[in-house]
Amino acid sequence: MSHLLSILILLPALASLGMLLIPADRKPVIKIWALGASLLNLALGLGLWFGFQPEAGFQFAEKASWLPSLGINYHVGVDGLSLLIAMLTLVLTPVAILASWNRIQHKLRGYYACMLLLASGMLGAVVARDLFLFYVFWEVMLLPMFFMIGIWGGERRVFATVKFVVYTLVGSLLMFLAILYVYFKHHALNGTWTFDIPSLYAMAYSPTEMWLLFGAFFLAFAIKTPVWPLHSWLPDAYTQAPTPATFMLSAVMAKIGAYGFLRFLIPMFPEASQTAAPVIMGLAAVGLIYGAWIALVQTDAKRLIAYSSLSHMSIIVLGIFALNSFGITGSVFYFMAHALATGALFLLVMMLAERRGTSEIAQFGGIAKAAPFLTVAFIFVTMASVGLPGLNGFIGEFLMLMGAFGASSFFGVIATTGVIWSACYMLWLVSRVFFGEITRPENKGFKDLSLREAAIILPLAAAILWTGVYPQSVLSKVEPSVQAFLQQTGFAATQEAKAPATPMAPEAHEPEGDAPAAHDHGH
Amino acid sequence: MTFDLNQLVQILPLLMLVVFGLFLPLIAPVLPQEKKGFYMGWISFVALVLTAGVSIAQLAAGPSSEPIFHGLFAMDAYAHYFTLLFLACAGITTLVTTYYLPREQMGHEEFYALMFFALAGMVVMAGGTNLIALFLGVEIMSYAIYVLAGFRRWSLRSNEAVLKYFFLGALSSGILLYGIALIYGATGTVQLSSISEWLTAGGSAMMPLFIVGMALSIIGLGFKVAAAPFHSWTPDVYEGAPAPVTGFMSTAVKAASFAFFLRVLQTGFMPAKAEWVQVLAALAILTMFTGNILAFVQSNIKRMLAYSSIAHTGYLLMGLVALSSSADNAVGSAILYYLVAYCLTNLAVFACIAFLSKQGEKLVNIEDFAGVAQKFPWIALAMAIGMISLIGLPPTAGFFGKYYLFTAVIQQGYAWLAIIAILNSILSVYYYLRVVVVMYMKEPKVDWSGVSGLNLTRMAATICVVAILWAGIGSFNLLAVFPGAEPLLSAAKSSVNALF
Amino acid sequence: MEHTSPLIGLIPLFPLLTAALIGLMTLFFAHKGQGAPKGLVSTLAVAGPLASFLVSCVLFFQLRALPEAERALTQTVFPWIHVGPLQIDVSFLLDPLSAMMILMVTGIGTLIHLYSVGYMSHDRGFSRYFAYLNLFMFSMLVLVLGSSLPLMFVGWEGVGLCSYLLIGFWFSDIAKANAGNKAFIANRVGDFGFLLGMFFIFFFLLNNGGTASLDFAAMKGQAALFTPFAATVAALLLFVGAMGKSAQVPLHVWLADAMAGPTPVSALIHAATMVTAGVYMVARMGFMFAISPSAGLVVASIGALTAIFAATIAIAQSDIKKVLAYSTVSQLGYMFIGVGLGAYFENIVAGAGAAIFAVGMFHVFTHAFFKALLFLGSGSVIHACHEEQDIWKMGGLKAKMPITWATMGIGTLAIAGIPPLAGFFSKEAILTNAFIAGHYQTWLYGIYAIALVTSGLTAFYMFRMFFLTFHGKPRDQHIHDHAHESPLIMTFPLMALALGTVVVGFLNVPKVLSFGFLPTDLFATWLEPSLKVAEHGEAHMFHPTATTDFILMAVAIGISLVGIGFAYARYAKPTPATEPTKALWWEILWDKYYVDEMIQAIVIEPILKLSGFLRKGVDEDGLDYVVNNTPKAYAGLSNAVRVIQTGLVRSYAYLMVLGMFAILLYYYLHLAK
Repeated sequence: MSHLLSILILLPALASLGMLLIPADRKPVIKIWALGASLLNLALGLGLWFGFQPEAGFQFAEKASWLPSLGINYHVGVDGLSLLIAMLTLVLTPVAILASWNRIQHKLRGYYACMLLLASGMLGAVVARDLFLFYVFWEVMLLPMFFMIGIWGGERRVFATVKFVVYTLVGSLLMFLAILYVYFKHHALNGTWTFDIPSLYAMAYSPTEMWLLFGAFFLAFAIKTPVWPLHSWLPDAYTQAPTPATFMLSAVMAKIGAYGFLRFLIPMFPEASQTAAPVIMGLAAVGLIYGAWIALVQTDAKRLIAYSSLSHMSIIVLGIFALNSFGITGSVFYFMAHALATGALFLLVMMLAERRGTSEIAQFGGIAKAAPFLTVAFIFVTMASVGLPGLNGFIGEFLMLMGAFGASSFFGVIATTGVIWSACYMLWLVSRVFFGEITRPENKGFKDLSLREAAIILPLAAAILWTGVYPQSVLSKVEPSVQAFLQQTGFAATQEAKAPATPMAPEAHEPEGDAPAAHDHGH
Repeated sequence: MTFDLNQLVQILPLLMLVVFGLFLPLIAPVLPQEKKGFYMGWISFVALVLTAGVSIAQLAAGPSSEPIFHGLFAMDAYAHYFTLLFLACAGITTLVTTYYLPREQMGHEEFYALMFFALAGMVVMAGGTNLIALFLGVEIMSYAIYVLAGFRRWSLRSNEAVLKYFFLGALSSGILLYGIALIYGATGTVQLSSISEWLTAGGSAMMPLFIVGMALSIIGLGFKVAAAPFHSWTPDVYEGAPAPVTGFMSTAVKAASFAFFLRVLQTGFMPAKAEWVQVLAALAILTMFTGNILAFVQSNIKRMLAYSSIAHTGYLLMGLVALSSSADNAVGSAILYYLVAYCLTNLAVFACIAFLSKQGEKLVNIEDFAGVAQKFPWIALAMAIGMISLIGLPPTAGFFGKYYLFTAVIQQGYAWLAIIAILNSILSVYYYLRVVVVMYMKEPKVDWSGVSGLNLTRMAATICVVAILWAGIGSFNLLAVFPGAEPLLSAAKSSVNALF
Repeated sequence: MEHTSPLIGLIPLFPLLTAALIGLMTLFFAHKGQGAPKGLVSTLAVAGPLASFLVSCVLFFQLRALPEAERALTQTVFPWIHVGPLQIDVSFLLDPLSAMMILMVTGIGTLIHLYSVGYMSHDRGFSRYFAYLNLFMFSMLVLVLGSSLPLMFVGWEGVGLCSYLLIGFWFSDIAKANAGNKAFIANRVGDFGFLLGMFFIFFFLLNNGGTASLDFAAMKGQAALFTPFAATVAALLLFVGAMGKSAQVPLHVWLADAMAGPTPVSALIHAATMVTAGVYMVARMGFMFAISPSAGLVVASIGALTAIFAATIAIAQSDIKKVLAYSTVSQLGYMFIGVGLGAYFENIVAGAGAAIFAVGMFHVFTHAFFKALLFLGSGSVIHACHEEQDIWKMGGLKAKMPITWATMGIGTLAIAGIPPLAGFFSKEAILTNAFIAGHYQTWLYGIYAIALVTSGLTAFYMFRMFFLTFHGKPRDQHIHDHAHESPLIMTFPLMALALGTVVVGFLNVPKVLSFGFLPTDLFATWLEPSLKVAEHGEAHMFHPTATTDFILMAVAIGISLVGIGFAYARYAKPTPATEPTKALWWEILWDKYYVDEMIQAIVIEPILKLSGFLRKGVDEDGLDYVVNNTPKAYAGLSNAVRVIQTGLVRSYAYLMVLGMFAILLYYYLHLAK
């Protein structure tokens, strides 16, 4: 039994404690310490990626009893659903730290300590196999974010961070109660106290119980993701947070919300999920258009990306609640794709803002002349974010939209209009910021990417390209777990009936062919 | 039942407390004047540690739950558990006061003496098996606390507070005593065990009389634990009393009152649960909302914490509602655990307040703490962790207490009550976070020049914080000092089982 | 049996490599603040497509060597997207259809690269330009060679990207940059349809017991599963994609603006290759269109509508590139008439479609030559006139630039449909088939009529452009004085394409014109394996008699001559007749039927207004307002309840006693029961 996961979780936390030993005025030491720790963690984490056996289900598992009398265990492990987010945490933390290098000027110790703590929290939340453990990490990852936004954020940081935390807690405290109820229910049914996630799956509830619990879980995850109309914390938090924090927030934390649907909500309440799926897809479809259209009329670049993020997360939700392998695989893949693209966009906007002290679009224009590299990078990432084939955004979008279409052609059509809107607001942003003549004297001699900034963007861009050209490198790790997920939740069964594996079928060896879930496929 | 020495040995902790209380003022004069506060503090601390040692030893030896002194009193595991809790609270308070009293030029002798008498009263409240004994305990404790609360003699606010406290306290004691009298009239006994036998026997025509008596005693206790609508005194007294005393009151006194309450309900009134459960439920809900709603707009942190303590009373009352006669239920132990978590947290917070509020407690408005994090990062951190624990977020004792209490309540079929409680803790998030926000995210406004190197207070806060975190996440004894969640749970469980 | 070839992958690979190399060089030298060495860049730039062209030729002959039934080479490079039944590989399909396309693309592409070396020689973005252009070649070849719809879509959007980059090539001019946006977004509207088409086909197969696949071969193999309705839905969804890419009404709006890009780009992307991708796709999916009784007719009708629509607009334009742009739109309409009718005929007479699909593709083929020629010619003119594009400022350039004049003349005659040039054959075939269609459904004579009129108009406005540019007296002496013939590197491609324009028509000579010695229908025969849907031997369908054929030709040529005559009469004079700019109809044509304005008013404005409302009214003043004011409400409640906290001991006592009585009252009522 390898201890890799525990090490990966603990190392940043310990590093953040160790940080307190460094005298506050030794700024370079603090930065290097933080970067070193995160890089070391990443180096170890590569073992996770390369050691991962697609077909093996949960692996790198570790189990130790924590509070035996209450059936609470320290139990961690990764499967294809969680692997990507875990890797994202590991890969993006150093990037975020590097991005903070000059951006953060005061109280460095606290800042980098928070950053590392955040990494621990998020990783823990993703790999937890014990519901109680999950909840602990779920809340723990909130606190560093609370401080990062509140202390190092922008003008209205306090307002933003309180709004963010209180809003999130409303959801998660209700979920907490639901967790306790599920825990009690399992005892009532089986006579054992356990928080072991799989054993809490698909238990028998009365309709009232089921819907209340479903609602509580849904609320918590829907707020975190966010699902329209529970998003109103997002624009403030995303714009007020220091951009590296926004980066982590949008790239990883939001994904953990969506991951919650897959890991907890749907397997715990399959029938409720299936019944509610159309409604949730409806909300997601609304959010998709809503976010995109509002992004269209934003005057501030960072806010624009924030709303585009809402739109993209809505597609993810749509893909998940399509409840077929395309939608879910696509969503999981898109966790990564969106993290890289939107993350990179936030960072690039930060680089723009750092040069001009504002991210208001009108302040720019004609930048391409002065800063070709920045422009190339921005357009490249833009193309990823609008889902240009060949870059990874497309793979995710294609699969998610396909899944959505399979589940309900109506929502599929609505969602697919997204490819138009995203092009509209992103390209318009690009042309307003980068094209045309340089109109403002401040923008004359606009600095191009520095080496450090290039070092931040390049890995992201490389990953975007690689996973776009050869997505199988990722899909092959994800897909088996998704099939297992569908088996276990029983959605695959409904699909099998619809897709008889004909001898010609290339995937004939896979008993569970899939197709849109039986309940609504609209042709 | 006859008197023998063994019985005195059983109540040794109680006796020690009384003796120390009498003895401390006597040695005061021989101590060097300038550092008297310091020595007094340490001596009482040692005294507390000794008492605790004895209690632990007895606990380890396996205490008998046989009532002694003609059924007046039982030094059972339950009593020991609370005794240790009281002693811990007192110990932390002492660490704070060694700095605090000299700063505020308060007399030391009386202070510690009174604290010990209060503790003695609490132990009686925890161990009493007889309504009269329990009532005596309440009174012993209360009188000492009245004085302590008004210890800043020259402060009008303090005097006003203690006067209110005293009047209303007297009123509630009267009600409680009258209730006891009626119960006696109805059942012909003040012995809890006999009362429960009388009830199981089906009571008699006297039942209505008993119920009225029970109602009155519940009301009296409601006052002691600050349950709405008998809570009104709390904010004023908490505000008026010296910070360490407030800390002591909000922890030890509340714990003692709950010890009393829990024992009475569990061992005395349980057969009549049908008669009191709705009332307690109503009180619980009313109390939660009163506390959480009123805390929101408080600018003075001590008042805010007063309301927060009311809110927590509400949660604990919810626990009492879920009590049942079956020994396997976890509610009792949940309440005991919750009390520990709550006490540790409040002590930490009040230690920080005592630390920050300058001479004469000038800085007790939340806004005054702006930028504390920059000046005193450690205190700020302690305070922040305290607040997080009060909200009930992991990885703190507060979170675990809530988890344990709520599960127990759900298990007893009161999920609806738990829902109300969780909604309340959502309400509470905002005002607790506000303190953190102010400390970390606002620029300093006041000058902290007056505040300086107060290591013992900082140490007190530190001890509490470590305990909070450990009781929240730990599953074993840390350095054999801090029991983790697991040992604490088992302790609470065995203590409660002493009642069955 | 299946044949594979490892060479196919090389065709897109070469331009990709050169694109990458040039791109990196560009960035590297931009870093040093200078341009990349022109010599190296131009060499690489031309080498890329040239290499692909050579490989294409090799493969073409390999393909020809195979027996007709087995003419398909495939190559699977690596697995791309495998999720459950969805198995998409990066794999290429070289069959007669794609072979013909890649020859055209690489061949003409090479010439245009060559031309660009001269045309862009003075531009600061020289190397950037070629990076984009090679990237375009790559995408276009992927589009053509992709063996499945998703892979075709990769190229499909890739060319869209390059078009976006190249239209906005001179991005300092915000108008040009926005033209790029317009192109990209209009194409996205099409892609929306394309995506849905893919989804629909996939799930239809999946839910109807087929092997869910988007691979062309697999889909064609299961064509039988498709009900007419399903086929119609699928075909029309895909056609929406084609409309976007091939600028059919109403998605044509972007193409005219696309002329903002450098002229060779207009020649390569917006005339010869990319814009014909839609037609190619329809031909590729011909079997699907053929199952549907209506899809083919919709395609043909839209084509006809677009043809006449654009032709009328072209009459009034004065910008030489705009004229060509609208003529392109119009000709694309022709192509869709061709393939649309192909689908229609296949639907009514099984096995008849292949030949007519081929007719549509043949027009794609010929058009590529003469339209590329015309654009390059116009580029040469613009070059000579120092970026002046208004034909009313030109005139009398014939003497100054004879080669350009001659080659463009050929091109103009070709597009006007004058025999024996390429345009004549391809256009004639389309007209004839439209006429035949009329035999089956009378209203289809309408399409024939429209096509006929269009060809007349085409002849007219093309020669208007030609005469105004080269004949008459110079109308702007200054420009005229500085005008000069372009260098060889630019004129050579002109001549090469002119030659092509002359000869390629003979690749598809109709039987009636064989005169006993000309080989007939080579092109159609070549494409047959790819385009034939059903195995129905010789399709027995109505065919007009030879005399009717000759009459039809005579009519068509006659109409073209009339058009030319009008143009000559008005514009060949030393001082051409002035345009009726006051007339309303002229206004309408000049302003392109106000389509842009309509779209602005009907689509864009409302969306922006609605978005503004969503942002302000719903998000900020709605949802956010509620959230932000919850604490206020809470505080209000708190303050309201606060009144019980008077600070007066007696009121506290009252409260306690009140509570006490409440409880006692409860018990009183409780016990009373």
